[in-house]
Formats: sequence, structure tokens, C-alpha cells
Amino acid sequence: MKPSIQIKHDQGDSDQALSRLLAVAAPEVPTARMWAAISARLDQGPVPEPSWWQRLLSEVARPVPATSLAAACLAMGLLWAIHQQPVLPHVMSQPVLATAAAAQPRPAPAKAQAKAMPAAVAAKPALAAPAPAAPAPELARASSLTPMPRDLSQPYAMVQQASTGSQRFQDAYAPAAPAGASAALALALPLAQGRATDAGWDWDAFQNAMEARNSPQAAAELAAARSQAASRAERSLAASAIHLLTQPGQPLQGYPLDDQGDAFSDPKAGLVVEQAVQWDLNTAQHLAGFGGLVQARVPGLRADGPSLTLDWASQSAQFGAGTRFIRTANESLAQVVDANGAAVKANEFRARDGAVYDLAKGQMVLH
Amino acid sequence: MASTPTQQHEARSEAEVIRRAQAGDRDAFESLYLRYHREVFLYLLSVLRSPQSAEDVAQDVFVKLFHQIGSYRQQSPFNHWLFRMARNAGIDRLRREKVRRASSLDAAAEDAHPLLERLDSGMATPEELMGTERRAALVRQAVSSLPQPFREIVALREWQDLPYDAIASRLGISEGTVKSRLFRARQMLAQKLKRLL
Repeated sequence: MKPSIQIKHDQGDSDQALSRLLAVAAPEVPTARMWAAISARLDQGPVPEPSWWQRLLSEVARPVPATSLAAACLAMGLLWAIHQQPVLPHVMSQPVLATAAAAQPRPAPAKAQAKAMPAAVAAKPALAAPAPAAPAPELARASSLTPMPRDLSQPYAMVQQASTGSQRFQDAYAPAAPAGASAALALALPLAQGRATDAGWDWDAFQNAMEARNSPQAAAELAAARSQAASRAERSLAASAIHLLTQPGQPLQGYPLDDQGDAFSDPKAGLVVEQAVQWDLNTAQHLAGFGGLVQARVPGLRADGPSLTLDWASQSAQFGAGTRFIRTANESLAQVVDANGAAVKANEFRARDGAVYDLAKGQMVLH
Repeated sequence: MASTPTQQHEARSEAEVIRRAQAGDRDAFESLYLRYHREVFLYLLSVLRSPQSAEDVAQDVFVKLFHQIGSYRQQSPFNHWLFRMARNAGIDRLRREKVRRASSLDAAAEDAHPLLERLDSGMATPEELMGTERRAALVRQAVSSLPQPFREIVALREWQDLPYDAIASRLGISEGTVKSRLFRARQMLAQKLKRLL
């Protein structure tokens, strides 16, 4: 018995000694210095530093020097001249473009057709079989628009083809793109790097693709997140990003990804931001902030307000103060309650102090 | 567990301070800083292991807090919300530093704790073990050499004196896990610091 008591006694001493050591070793906190630095940064203005997205936009908006443009055109022209003969028959045989051509038989711009095809073929692209040595009409149009090296021609052709009908994809609630086009796009897009992790969807791949201006990769990442992310909030974020980034002038314009279809007929479908003057994705904090004139949709409601914060850690969306809501027809009635839990029955109402939408429950709580 | 009148009063006064900070009151924001900066800094130090990095990230966290406090809707306790912000910022910085360290030839040197290793192996001289500052530095090195889940538990429990339930809710783990991790962390520290005990 004695040894065990002795050991326990030693252990207790050791524990106390360790506690004393740890207490003495508590690191010093630079209270005043940190506050001085924080105050200085707050004094600099409301936004201390631009987000990666704002930086990207400012870079995209920067005018390209004429010399750089001329050099790029010259280089692409040379590549085209070198590869033109061997490339065309090879590309024609690619299943991606063949499928795309079958799925999207839209007439090409007259100027592009005239440049690429004989007049007889250009007049009746759907009826006339291509001459043995000439490219197919769809391919000819894409090729004439896209003097690209061979390895880039496929996705770029898809972009151009889709952008001719970009109006079709500007409306989130337009019918979905033809199945053939989606299949072709799926073939044309690179493999997505992002995947679901224990901490939610890994958005780094999307962020990296945007920062590298790699539009096909960014499109692939968003498409994967929208279909594979585990949480409804993350799928909502992906759908919103797709909608915003496929608008005219945005990096993914023309990618036929924005096919919401009748998604909002499901009362627990997610949320889609249809419009925002600026938005910011903070993957570290699991937040996406949308500002300016924000328009958003949730099942049964259309929202119009100053701001929206999508928090995929808590599966909720916070609408800014003064947001106006209108019920939409032909969709299941949205659950809306006020701060006291009483149901709100009006077809149109305003959240004076904001509102929180619980994506898991499909319930809107007004403040 | 029912809260005491004092706790209720503190919660009400904190809610008032938060409301004022949301309205842009810098004094209210400063009082929030004074209330929580130690917790944020020490936690970040346990994650990042560098006082400079912890200070940088803590600054970022409070600047972000100032700009985003308007989006706090009191659905969860404020300190949990702030802690989550700090935790994400720390992990984000850690990820970036890992990438940078991976390409650095000095990575091994940065991570090494020569004196601690000598202490561990029994080679440290008595002179090296003397002096409060020296001993404190050794203990801090020993803590920072623990794996991250154990470091953060030690920082939250031993340096911030948080109760088990508060640590559990902030880290999203059970109280039992907190206790077992703390036990393991103390075992490891006792092993590393046995010559000082």
C-alpha cells in the first residue's frame, strides 16, 4: 500500500508544480500596442483592405495596353497559321464539339459565317453537308471566332457558342439549358478540385481559379459546389455565384451553368442572390456578404434590400434592415414569422430591422 | 444550468455594449476589445505559436469585428461568434504559413526548440534552468511543441481559466473530450518539463 500512496502523493505534487509553472508562463498580452494598431487601422476608413474579389475586379477593369493587345493578337495569329491545316480535321472529330454543335444549332453571325464558309454553305448551314475539306458549319464559326491554339480551342469554342445566346442564361428562372448542352459543357469543363470536407466545402480551389482568371476551372468549381456541397447554404452560395458571374461582362458570361429551372418549387430549396452591386466571399469565416441593391429569391419570396449575409456555418441568411419581401405566385407558401413567432400572412411586407432566413427549416424570421 | 442575477446583469450590459458598437460607438467597441482581446490573443498564440503572428491576426480579427459587428444578430452568444471568427482567422493564417513553410529550407530550424530538446534529454545545465523568465520561456516552448488540439486546450484552460463547458462549446467538442485532452496535454507537459517539476 505504501508505494501506491507515495506515487499518488508525488503525482499530486507534480500536478501542482505543473500548474504553478503554467501560471507563471502565461504569455504577456500586448494590450495597448494591439489597440493602438487596431485604432490606426479603423481610422483609415470603413474598408481596411480590398478583398480578393475586389482586387480581381479592379484588375479585370484595368485597360489593357495597346502594345500588349497587339502582341497577343500577333502571337495568336501565328499560332493559328501554324496549326490551321492539321488542327481542323482533328478538332472536328472531338466528341465535345460534335455534341455541342448538335445541341446548339443557332445561326452564327453573318460576318463570321461569310468569313469562314463558302456562300452556298453559309446560306443553308442546316441543310448543306460540309464539303470534305471544309469544316462543319458550327465548327467553322467557332474556329473563325476563336483563333486559339489547339489545346484551348474546345472550352473557348463553348464559351463563344454559349455567349451567342447569353440572353437565354441571364434569367435564373428560364427553362434549363438543353441536356445536350449541359453534357457538352460537362465534357468541356476541367475536373473540379474542390470537394466536401469535414469543415464544409473547400472553396480554395474556386478562389484560386478566380485569382488565376481561369474561367473554365472556376466554372467547374462552382458547378461541383452547387451539386455536391453538403449544406444547403453552400449550394445556395454556389448557385448565387454562378448567377452573378454569368451576367454580361462578368468572368463566366456565356457559360450555360445558370439553370435553376423550377428549383424554388421545393419549399426547402436554397437561396439565390440575383443581383448585388458588390459581393465578397470570406471562406475563412464561412461568410458571403452581398451589398448594394440586393435582390434575392427564396422559395415563395422575392427579397429586395440593402444587404445580405450568407453564413454557411449557421446555415442562415441575414437580410439587412429595410428589406422588402413579396410573395411569389405558383410556389409553396413561405413560412414567415415575426420576432414574437406570430405568422405573417401579408403578400408584401418589410423587415424594418432585418430578417434571418433559416435555410435548414425554410423559415424567415422578421426582426 | 440557470444563470445567476450577476450573470444576467452582465449579459444585459454586454448586449447594450454590443448594440452601441453596432451603432458605430468606438468607446463601446473598445470595451469589447478590452473584454475579449486577451482570450483572442492567447487562443491565436496557441494556434499559431508565434506572438507576432498572433498579434497580427488578433488585430485583423478585431478590425473585422468592427466592420462586421452589424451582422451579429444575437442568435448565439457574442463570445462564441467572436471566437469562431478568431478560430477561422487563425486556421486561415496557419494554412498560408504552412504553404510558405513547406517551401522554406529553414522550416526545421523554425520549428526546433533546442533548449527544450536538451531539457528533455537531460542535457540542460542548471544555469540554463535558472531564472523565472527562462523557465517561463521553456514552459511556453513546451506548450507550443504540443499538437494543436492540446495546445488550444492548455491555452484556454490554464491561461484563460475558462470552465470546461465554455471550452467545450467554443471548440465544438464534448466536456469529456476537453477533460481527456487536458489530461493528455498535462501528461505530455510533465514529461517534457520533468526536470523543472
